[in-house]
Amino acid sequence: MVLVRPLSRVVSSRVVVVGGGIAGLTAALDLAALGYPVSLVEEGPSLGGLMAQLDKTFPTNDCAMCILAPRLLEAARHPLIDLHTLTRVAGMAGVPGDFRVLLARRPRYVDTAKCTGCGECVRVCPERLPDPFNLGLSVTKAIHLPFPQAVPQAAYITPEACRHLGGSKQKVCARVCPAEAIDFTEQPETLVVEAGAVILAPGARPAPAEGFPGAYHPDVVTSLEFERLLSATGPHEGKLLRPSDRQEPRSLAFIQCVGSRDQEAGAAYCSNMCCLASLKEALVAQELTQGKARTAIFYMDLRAQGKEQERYLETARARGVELIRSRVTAVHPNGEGGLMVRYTDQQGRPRERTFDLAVLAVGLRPGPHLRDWAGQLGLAVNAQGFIKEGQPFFPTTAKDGVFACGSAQEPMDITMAVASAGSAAEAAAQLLAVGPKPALSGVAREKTLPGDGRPPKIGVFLCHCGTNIARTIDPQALAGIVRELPQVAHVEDFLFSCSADATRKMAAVIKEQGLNRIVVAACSPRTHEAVFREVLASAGLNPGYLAFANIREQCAWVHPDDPGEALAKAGELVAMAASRALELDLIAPARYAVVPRALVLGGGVAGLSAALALADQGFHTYLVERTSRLGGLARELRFTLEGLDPQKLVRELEAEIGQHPNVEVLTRAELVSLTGAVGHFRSRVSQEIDGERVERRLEHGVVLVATGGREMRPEGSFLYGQDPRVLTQLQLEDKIVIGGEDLERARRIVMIQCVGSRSPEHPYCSRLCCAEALKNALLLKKRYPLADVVVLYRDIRAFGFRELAYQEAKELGVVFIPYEQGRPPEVAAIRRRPLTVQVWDELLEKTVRLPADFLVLSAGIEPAEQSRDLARLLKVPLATGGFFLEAHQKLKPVDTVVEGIFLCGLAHYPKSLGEAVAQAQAAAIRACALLFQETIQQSEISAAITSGHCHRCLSCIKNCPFGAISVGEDGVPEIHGELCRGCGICAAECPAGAIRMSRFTDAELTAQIRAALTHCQGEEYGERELLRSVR
Amino acid sequence: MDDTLRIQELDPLFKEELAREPGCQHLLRCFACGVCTATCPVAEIEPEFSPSRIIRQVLYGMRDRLLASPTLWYCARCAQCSFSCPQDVRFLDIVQGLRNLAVREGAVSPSLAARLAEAEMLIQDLRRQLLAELLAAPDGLDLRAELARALDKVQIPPAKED
Repeated sequence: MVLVRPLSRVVSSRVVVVGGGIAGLTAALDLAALGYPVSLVEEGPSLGGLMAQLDKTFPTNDCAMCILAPRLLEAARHPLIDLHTLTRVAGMAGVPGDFRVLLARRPRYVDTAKCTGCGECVRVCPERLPDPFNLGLSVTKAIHLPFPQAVPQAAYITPEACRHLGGSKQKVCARVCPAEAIDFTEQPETLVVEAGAVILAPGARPAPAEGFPGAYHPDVVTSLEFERLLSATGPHEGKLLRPSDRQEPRSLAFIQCVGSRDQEAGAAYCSNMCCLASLKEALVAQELTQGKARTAIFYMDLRAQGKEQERYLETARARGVELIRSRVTAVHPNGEGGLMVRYTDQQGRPRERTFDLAVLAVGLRPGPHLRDWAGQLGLAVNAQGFIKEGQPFFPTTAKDGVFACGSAQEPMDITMAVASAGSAAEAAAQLLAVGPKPALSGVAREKTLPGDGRPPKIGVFLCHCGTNIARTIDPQALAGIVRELPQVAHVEDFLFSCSADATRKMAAVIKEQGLNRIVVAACSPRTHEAVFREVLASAGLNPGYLAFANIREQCAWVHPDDPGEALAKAGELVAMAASRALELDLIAPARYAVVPRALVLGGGVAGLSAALALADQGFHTYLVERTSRLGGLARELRFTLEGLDPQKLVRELEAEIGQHPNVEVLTRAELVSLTGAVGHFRSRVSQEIDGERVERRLEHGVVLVATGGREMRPEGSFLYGQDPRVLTQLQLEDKIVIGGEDLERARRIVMIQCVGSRSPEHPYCSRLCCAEALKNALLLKKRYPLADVVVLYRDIRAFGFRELAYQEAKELGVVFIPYEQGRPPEVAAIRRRPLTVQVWDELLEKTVRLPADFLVLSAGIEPAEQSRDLARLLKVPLATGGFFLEAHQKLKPVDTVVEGIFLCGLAHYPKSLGEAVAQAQAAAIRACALLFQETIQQSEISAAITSGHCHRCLSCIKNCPFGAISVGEDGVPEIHGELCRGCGICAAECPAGAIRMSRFTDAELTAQIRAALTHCQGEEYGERELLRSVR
Repeated sequence: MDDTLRIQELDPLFKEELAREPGCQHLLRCFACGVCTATCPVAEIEPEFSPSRIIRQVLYGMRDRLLASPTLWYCARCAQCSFSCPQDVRFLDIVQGLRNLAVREGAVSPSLAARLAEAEMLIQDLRRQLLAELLAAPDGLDLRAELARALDKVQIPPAKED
């Protein structure tokens, strides 16, 4: 295993990121935030990758494009990111720190600087072709935009389909293009880019389904095709219809492991994300049919091992998604429009069922040219065809300076891809740490735009959001209502307001018409407020003058069956926003200095990796460890399934940390209190030195939580703690290392999976126990081939390449027997006799009694002991199981909801050693991006005291949970802006109404209430009285 | 009916022994996916015959019960299982392996095995005769009557001379 260390000579600190999917995008943004220039190279016409083609993402069921689009736009407008689309890397020369990367660009025939994405060319183009974005399920033209939110938002020509490029004289598109952006003379180009490091994130492709019997039938679709069918921008515009007759299917079958876990097809590995994808698709199908559709998933093992995924599985079960443990390898159309599926029931008898639609959960395969292309760059692919050099989840490859991440390394879901990308970015950043000082991060340090004292002119922009809003709320009718509102000077609607084209138009209209109060009625401000604030800023208007109305989550999505009421409500919501807009004030937050130091809580492998990464970037890092030694849980491990040597890793990390000038290690130390806010935290750490407790006061800009986890001790379960022959997996590993006669003489060892996990007390999967059991089973079989090893399981969650270890274990004779949650195994012990493990075998319909010399329990993982107390100290919420909660499961897996506090390792969720290190690096790079900024903006939502009204009752001080208020001169409380988190409690408690919350002033709230009450139709519920009572 | 499997009935080395029979080397690859049973035409009509169950019994090492089981002989050798298996377990060869062991261990006498083989040939000829009758006959004739007629015509082909 190779720890990435900074180069001594760096000629270029630019990083070339290959691949514009979610992994490449994340790596590019993480690096750019740190000030490293990035060349983002994408082979297709737009960024977005596979994620852009998904309808929703599990387990939050967020719309994929909604969480992706803001990142696409961020990359598009970032001054440090150069975008190269329709471009491939054709070669590379040089050494790390001084590479020359050869890029080969295909002609687009459209100038992206001129194209506005208006779509005129598409309208007139005479040549049709199957739409690749919709996987051929719909038809588009030879010139078209890849998809509505494409970045760059420009059309491109498919040369094989284009008539003009095929020899015809016609140039219909060029004639109608208002921007004169079409250029048929464009030639392929090559370009050499100097870079210090390269990150490969070319992703993976869905496995082919053509060989699957029945796949030819129009109603047998792949999972990705199904995503397109469900999608609002897809061929059915978000209505669930069968391709054959466009009727709503009443029953759907989801068939797992198509093209994965298939030795015969040459893909023996597991594709990691398909089980969850099918659960999600089944849930969405039910939602779209108001629960009428019957859904069934045919699976072998339900691999829901990610955070919150077990809960998701239980939700699906509770909502009636049928889960049938039986693999299906063919679908038979029955000639009457039905699709027949044959499967085996739990008692081993064949059965059949007919469905209206079948979805093949196709796995992931490496790109068809990956092997050759990687070869050109001096890299090999592994036996499964993915880029990997034996070290899983580590971004390093066989070639120094070249890193890999995402599904090109191993099939993975979006959450893992984002963490993997963060770790690749950090590795590149570490490598190039001494490079030419990177430019300070941050999009142009914005000068605060001035306030606007002119008479208000409101501009209202209504979004269709594809059909998400427009399907329920008629945009033209809404526009009609809105035009009547007072002081509204301009009303416009967009299909996708967040698209690059729409935002450009918006800014232009604001400038031209001198609009100075803007209302956007669209989706959620949580994801998109920042986008539209940028629009105002780019038009020279202070972003404070934006009022956002959510007519999607708060209207269209909750009243899909009531368009009339939805329209009225949308009108009210917009009226409220418009009234609020008139009371808005500018945003001119104070800035305060960032302390360029970090506090890392936890000295395990995650904490050590994160501290090293931060220290390499030049930030003084305090590493606080509760025990006397570093290394954490890894100290107790000797082997990992991944092949990493935990002891060696700990030694290497300790050695690097020990000699690093930027790391200060405090062992036998604990955090006692934390005050302050992002950029300037103040902590008190209590350390035991020579038997006495000494307190240190530290100041730092960020906190990283890496407090780890521990193996559950399942006292009382299965005689654990009562019989010495009952062990946990960690204890078994220890025993294997020590050896000993009792193990040598053992005739049978039984393992029980899911002890503690996946239960009401711990409703989550501990993710690594299946791999640990496999590891130990393999160790046992290799050392003691005659011992019978039997594993009793609920699902074997050997995801990704771990599936190969499962294969190996089986071939060595390990026996795997499933048991149901409701009928767990039982164990009995009689002195001087072997243990008896009893399990109900559903297939044989018999109770099996297995004598065992050892019983090994795969006990789950719990967060570290004091996690709850720590969470309270940090004011960070906890998720299921008491693990720390992240800000967004998919796209912010290492941030917490408290700005400046980051999260990694087992404290976040159980994960393997490699995954813990990768996540720690990803957290470190996020923290670094923050520390690189010399100043941080105060939260725009903050409190201010109007001293004239203050009664000096000091209620605010008593009630502030963050200690942000103290007594000032003449007894009037003083709010410290940098500590104020904008919770609003002080303002609510103040009996004199003397506290003003910016962005939520009384004037704004009153205006909204008045607008809601005067605007609504009908006079029910005593509105007059309410109106009178509102000041 | 006794629904408990006891220690004495389990031989953990049975699976390795069976894996040494011709064609059975991939036996251990099975991951209980159920495809073999789902595609088996015999399992469709005979509830006692289940390839999934047979493999499970092999993995437990239920040697005696399995080798004496009549279900070993129900397999029609159509090879759908082997064809469909994603792990190339070759269940058809496993059944043959079990039959070999059954004869070798005396669970089934060589003469019974020979008669079972003869019975298979009879069934094949009966099948051919019945199909010939149906194809030659006009529609509407009773299937059972045709079966009876075919039965009359069935012969065991003479043994081939060396």
